[in-house]
Amino acid sequence: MQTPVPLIEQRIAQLPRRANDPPPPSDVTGSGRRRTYIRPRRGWQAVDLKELWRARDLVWQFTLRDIQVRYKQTFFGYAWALVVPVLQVLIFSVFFGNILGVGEKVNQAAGRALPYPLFALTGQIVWNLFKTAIDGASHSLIANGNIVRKVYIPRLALPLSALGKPAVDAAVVFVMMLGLAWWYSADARYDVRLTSSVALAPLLLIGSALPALAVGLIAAAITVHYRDLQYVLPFFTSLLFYVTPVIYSVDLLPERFAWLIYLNPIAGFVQAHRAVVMDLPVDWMGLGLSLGLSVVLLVFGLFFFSRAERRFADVA
Amino acid sequence: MSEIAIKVDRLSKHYRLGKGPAGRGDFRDAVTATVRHVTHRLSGRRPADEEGGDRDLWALRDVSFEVKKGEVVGLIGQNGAGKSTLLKILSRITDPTAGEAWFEGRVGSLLEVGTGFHPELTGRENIYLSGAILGMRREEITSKFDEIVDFSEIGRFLNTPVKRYSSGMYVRLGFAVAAHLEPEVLIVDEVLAVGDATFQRKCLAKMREVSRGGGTILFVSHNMGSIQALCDRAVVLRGGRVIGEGEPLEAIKLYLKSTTEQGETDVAQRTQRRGRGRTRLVTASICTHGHEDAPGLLIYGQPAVARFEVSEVLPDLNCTFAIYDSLNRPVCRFNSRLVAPADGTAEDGTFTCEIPDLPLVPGDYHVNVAISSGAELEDHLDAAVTFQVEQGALDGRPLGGEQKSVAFAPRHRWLVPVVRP
Repeated sequence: MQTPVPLIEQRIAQLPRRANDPPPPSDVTGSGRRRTYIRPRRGWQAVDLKELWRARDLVWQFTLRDIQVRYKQTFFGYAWALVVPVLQVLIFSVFFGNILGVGEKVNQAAGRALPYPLFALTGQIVWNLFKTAIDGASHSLIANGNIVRKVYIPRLALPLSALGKPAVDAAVVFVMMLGLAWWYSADARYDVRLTSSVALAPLLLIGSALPALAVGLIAAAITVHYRDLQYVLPFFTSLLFYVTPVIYSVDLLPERFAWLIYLNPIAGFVQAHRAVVMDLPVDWMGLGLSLGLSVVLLVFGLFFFSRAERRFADVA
Repeated sequence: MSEIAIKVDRLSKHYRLGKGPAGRGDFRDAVTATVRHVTHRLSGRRPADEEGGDRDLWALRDVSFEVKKGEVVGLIGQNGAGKSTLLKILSRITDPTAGEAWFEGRVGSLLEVGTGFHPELTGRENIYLSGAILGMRREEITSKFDEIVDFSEIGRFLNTPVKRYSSGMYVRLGFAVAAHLEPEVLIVDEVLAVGDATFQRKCLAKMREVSRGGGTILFVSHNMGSIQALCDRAVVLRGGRVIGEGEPLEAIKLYLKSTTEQGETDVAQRTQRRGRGRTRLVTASICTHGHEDAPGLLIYGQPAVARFEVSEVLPDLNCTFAIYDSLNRPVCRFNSRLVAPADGTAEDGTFTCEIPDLPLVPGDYHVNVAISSGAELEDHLDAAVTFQVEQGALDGRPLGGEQKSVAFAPRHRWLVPVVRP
């Protein structure tokens, strides 16, 4: 046991400090082999995307694991991916669509007869992807703590691969949604038309993973130090649902303030996804605002995460 | 071949124990710590945290050594000496606080067997998962897949979820994947301690194969036998510092000497202990029955008495102690929880264990002691007592010279055929 060391920070400062030397992190020596340096890292440092690219097989294996496990553990397997959104949309349609008359207002604003269930589903699919991806990414470090503590892996692989399962779920629901749209298009009471713009929908779904990953990374990083967050985060994301145009359309908001909703980074994706599927006008400004915000958040999230993950093995 | 494969240069690692300001905590802790920090800043005094150094621990202090390419180096030291911390830093699981290290080539670190195995997945699926976690590309695993399956001997269980595997199969599969990583630098923690003897031999053989192929191995073990058998050199750690390095036998001697030295300090004064600490071991002794004046000396064939006094008598108190030989191999273990009709209760806070038959052969031994109340470990001390066994006779039967190389010489009786008239 060491004798008590007063003023630890001072003592650390006196020790040979090499963290800020020009970093030759993984370079190739004369013998042609890669030399790996291990030294203290402090402060904000660049995210090693090259390393992450080398670990792409790992990202894939983690994704595969989550999907395989889900399929094995549950009796209904992927049927669950459909059950949840179907129930959600059913309830929204009964309460908001019919009883509260949101469906009628939506139709007035759009000037077309839209089936509310399809209207809600085109938003809900994006929202569910966003929400489950945040949950997965923010838990990924803790859920894989036994790995992180025992072997070195590029830790970004964990939140990244947590996006896989929500993406597969969304793909399953997407097929159902197309089926529903096709069914409604044959119904003369509604004005539903599937146009080529539907091809943009998968892109928007993929795009909605950006804000999800950003929020997930930031949450995962905070959770390393403060476990409380994992309990309160679901509460905050469900609050966010009310400022996301899933059960209503942006057109129903007062025009002066409508743009504010796009400060919620998922709002732009929800709105645009619905528009391309139901052949409504896309609010490109809104999408741009949400996308830009997502990118900024994501860059911050990447740095923030790689700053926090270093200490994970120590505090976990 | 004097090329350096691993260089460790003045590595230090500092931990804050308990709820350090930067450690695990909740928002409330963080808020109070920040407020305290700010108020102390303003008042010009230092936060109490930084003055009380007992919450700080240097797990490693200025550790330096080199490992040459193709060398097998053992790391030895008691629990808490910093071996695991060092391996974690070299495996890049955690950052050092100061200093630096580098290694050349692909590193494989095996701190645990079967890291990342998912119980629901089959052997086949887990081979790919575990391989990827260890840093293998998918095509690499595919090309070595058959070899891995052969080595693990799981055969027809390949498509069974690993949750149905026996622990032996699980460990074999885990090691099989790691063994085919073909690293240039292999870092191995005490993984050989798991699995049966056949498996251990297989692991050792595989490690020899790696080193013959020019691979470098850094390896932690409490088994001095495998250190001696496998290593070219060994580094001895104690209290986070390197106290010496050299030939395996020299290093083992140094390590045992440091253990024995520790055995000579008063038990109550020791700081290297584990457990909750509501009660502590204050004295520990072992002697020949009736010879309390000569502690630490046993005579072969004579009954022995071990005594362990605790500071506080708690409910459901238990004492476990294990005797280790000079190569740190466990010889036998005693547990007061396993009761027999002849057991009794003590008047004071002392565990007494009478051992009428302790047929240990002459040599040096040490005893690790654990005190627990209920399921909670209260105190644990390595080498709480050391003792020596002297020549003697059991039931009048002397011990032959050839007995030096065995573990024990039990009480026995012969019936010998003789030529009858």
